[in-house]
Amino acid sequence: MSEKKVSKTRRNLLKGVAAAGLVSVITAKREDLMKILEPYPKEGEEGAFGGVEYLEINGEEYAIAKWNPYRVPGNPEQSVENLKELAKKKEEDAKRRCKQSAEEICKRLGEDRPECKLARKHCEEIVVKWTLAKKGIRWAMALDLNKCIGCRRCAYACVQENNVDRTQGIEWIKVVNLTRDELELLNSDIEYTSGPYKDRVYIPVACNQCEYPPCIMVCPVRATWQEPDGIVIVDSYRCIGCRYCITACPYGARHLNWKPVSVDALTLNPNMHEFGNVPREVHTVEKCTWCIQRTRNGGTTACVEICPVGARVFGNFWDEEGPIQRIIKEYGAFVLKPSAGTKPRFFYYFGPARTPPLDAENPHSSDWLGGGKKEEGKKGGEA
Amino acid sequence: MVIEILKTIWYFIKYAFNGGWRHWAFILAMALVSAWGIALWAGVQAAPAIYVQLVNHLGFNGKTLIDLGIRPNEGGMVYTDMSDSVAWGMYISFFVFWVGVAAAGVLFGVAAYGFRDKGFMRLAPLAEAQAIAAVLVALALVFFDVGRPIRTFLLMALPIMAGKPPNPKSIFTYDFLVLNSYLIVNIIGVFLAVHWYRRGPKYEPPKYLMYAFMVIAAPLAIGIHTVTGFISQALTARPLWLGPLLAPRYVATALAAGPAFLLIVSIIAEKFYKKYKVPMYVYEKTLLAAIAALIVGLYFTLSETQELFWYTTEPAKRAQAIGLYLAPFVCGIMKPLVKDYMFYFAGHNVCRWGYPGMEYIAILFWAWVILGVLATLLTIFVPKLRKSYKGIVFLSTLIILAVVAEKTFTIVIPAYVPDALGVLHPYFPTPLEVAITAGAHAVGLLVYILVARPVLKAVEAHYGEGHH
Ligand code: SF4
Ligand code: SF4
Repeated sequence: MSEKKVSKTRRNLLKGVAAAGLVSVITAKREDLMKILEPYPKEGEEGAFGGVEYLEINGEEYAIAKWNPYRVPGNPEQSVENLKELAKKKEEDAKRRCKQSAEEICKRLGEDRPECKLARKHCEEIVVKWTLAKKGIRWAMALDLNKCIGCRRCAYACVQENNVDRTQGIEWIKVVNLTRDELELLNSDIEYTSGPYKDRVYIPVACNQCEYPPCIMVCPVRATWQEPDGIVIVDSYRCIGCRYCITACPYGARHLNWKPVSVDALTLNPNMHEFGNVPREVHTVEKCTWCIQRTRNGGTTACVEICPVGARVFGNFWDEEGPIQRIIKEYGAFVLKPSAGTKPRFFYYFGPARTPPLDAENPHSSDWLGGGKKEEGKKGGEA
Repeated sequence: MVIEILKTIWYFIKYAFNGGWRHWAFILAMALVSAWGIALWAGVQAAPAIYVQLVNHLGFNGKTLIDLGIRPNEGGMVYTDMSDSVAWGMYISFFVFWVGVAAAGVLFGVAAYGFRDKGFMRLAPLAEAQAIAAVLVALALVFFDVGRPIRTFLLMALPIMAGKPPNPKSIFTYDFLVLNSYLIVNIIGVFLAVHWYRRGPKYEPPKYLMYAFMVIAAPLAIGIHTVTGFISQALTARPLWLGPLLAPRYVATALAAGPAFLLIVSIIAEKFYKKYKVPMYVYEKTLLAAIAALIVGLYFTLSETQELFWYTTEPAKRAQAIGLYLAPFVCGIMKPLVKDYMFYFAGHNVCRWGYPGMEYIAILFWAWVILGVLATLLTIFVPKLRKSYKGIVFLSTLIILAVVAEKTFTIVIPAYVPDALGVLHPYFPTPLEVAITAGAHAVGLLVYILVARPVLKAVEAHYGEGHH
């Protein structure tokens, strides 16, 4: 082959590259490109990832996330219809699965046992809500690490409240047990069996409902998104189980159902929200939703309710007079892995008093109130 | 024109199947292995997901599925060793490797058509066939990996193909796009080559078509692996991946393993196709190019090692690296460097092969370093080896083994151990995962041989008569 031929070839090659580049520059719309490349499109401080749309129902203002795949752009009524329909579908499915379980229970224990009746009743009671987020609310939680005794009651309450499959050992709240001198998660011992110890700090970790959640940005099907009140939810009717979000979450907050999800009619919590504790499907991801089925209707979360030392506080982050802001102002707060850039809305702080008190005689959990109590406790146990 | 195209299609079908008994034996073996893998996948791992999707969401009749052995309450991904701690396992590990092999294919096309090198032109169609097979293995592995395969197709694949990606910010979207585009481009490339070559020595594909092919395919080739690297390298949650070197490192070692694989296949093909001959200099140059890429890969590893162990780095990153690097014979060197971090791993004698239950990671890592250096030294300093067929096959095997050690488990798994909350959760593939992975590979090899035969026949027809 001759020199000339080679250089001609190269020139043709370059021409081809230039032409291809030109075509792609001309055809791509700038706004579209910007939309894709701009990492965090947020409308001011208020609003979910991707922006929000407001609507009015019965005089109250609500908000729908634009990232919500059931939203019909510019048509809030239709969006609401879609959400209602989804709730209905999920309710039917939950009832069907519950009844299956109830039948099994009744067959196993006999028709006239109270368990059988209770199971049936639970199935009847199932309501799957589609309550929207109210305008002007951004939930947040704060946790006093000086109070937390690492008893894991929140983790268990969470499992019960949220219909987590008991056969898989999934817990949305993990309590991390660390030394007090350095809050480095690598030191963590999450399989501890005794406590509380004076020289340890117990950090319950669940989803931080990040302001900039990496988990939803990676989801290829938009099965998970941030609601306008800040709660990051997963729709188990969309999740494809690719586990990219588990990989992306810096707090280990997401869990996959690695096997068929069993529903137990006896222990089922019939108060459900379509994006919360409605029984999930096999091979889909689930996570903490700050008890969306309770908090959207004016309640508080199960973990706040159960905490025996009152270490947890739940409230509206934007409420200047609210408990969260008060705690931040008074004690100062920190978040886990701030370097991850996720801006968690789960604040930790070291409150004014320690539980157990530092001068308690015994640091162990059963007897931190002092020796006398311990004896009593023992007697009571034996009696 | 239409008749010629139909003839080409017929040519593909005819030659894909009219082989000798060896051809058929290979096809049969691969078909069996892949059927076995797919049966295990559909009947065990994905069974409940398939059932739920088909029956509850799409209204199919459940009875037929149950008769087929697909039951709603049995099976599931629990039978893999993946967990919430180690979310991606063997499938994604090998996915990364095969994306790499695929990426290398088209670069032969660039060498061949860009520089009009007659020797490389003989190899180029086979390289494209290899790219097709490798992309298919990669896609199959992802499909086997997702929990809800049918839903993946309905909610992700279809909308993306229709031009409405549900989430244009997810790198998965782009990976899916580039992988599929690359697959299609390579199918077209193979088709073009066979379409003209089969008719004899005087027929060449028109130049403008080949330029168009190259201009589209070459960036895509780099693109598929770059985007695959982008999937993981921007995640703060996984410090070991976090850094801009992951994608370049992917590409570097891909350019080593892909050509090495092609060399072996081509040398084997020369044995069976009498008129298919590739000049020796092509093999030698290819091997040298692969080694150059391997050196870049080794250099990247060195650079990462410095970043990880010289001064203090992020503890989580170093904790993950310790599982990757530590082995008895380096403990003497590494211990002083990591000793300040030892207290994070109290209870684990880290001066063994990595973390308990994960020893294979450290072994594979050092296998990569040692085999890589060995292959480099042998190729450069023992010219006799790289000038004989046997030597080339030997060196290529070394390169492939080195890159398999580097690109599979040692890239994906260590970033999960310890996980985001500092928990060590060992991962070791279960027999089910191994079988399904083998099945995916068999699918690729099956396609490879079915496409390669017509391609080689066409190359024979074009170059075989002593022209050119
Ligand atoms: S803690 Fe994890 S799951 Fe929760 S919002 Fe943040 S990244 Fe997502
Ligand atoms: S596992 Fe589900 S929620 Fe998570 S990224 Fe994949 S599809 Fe989205």
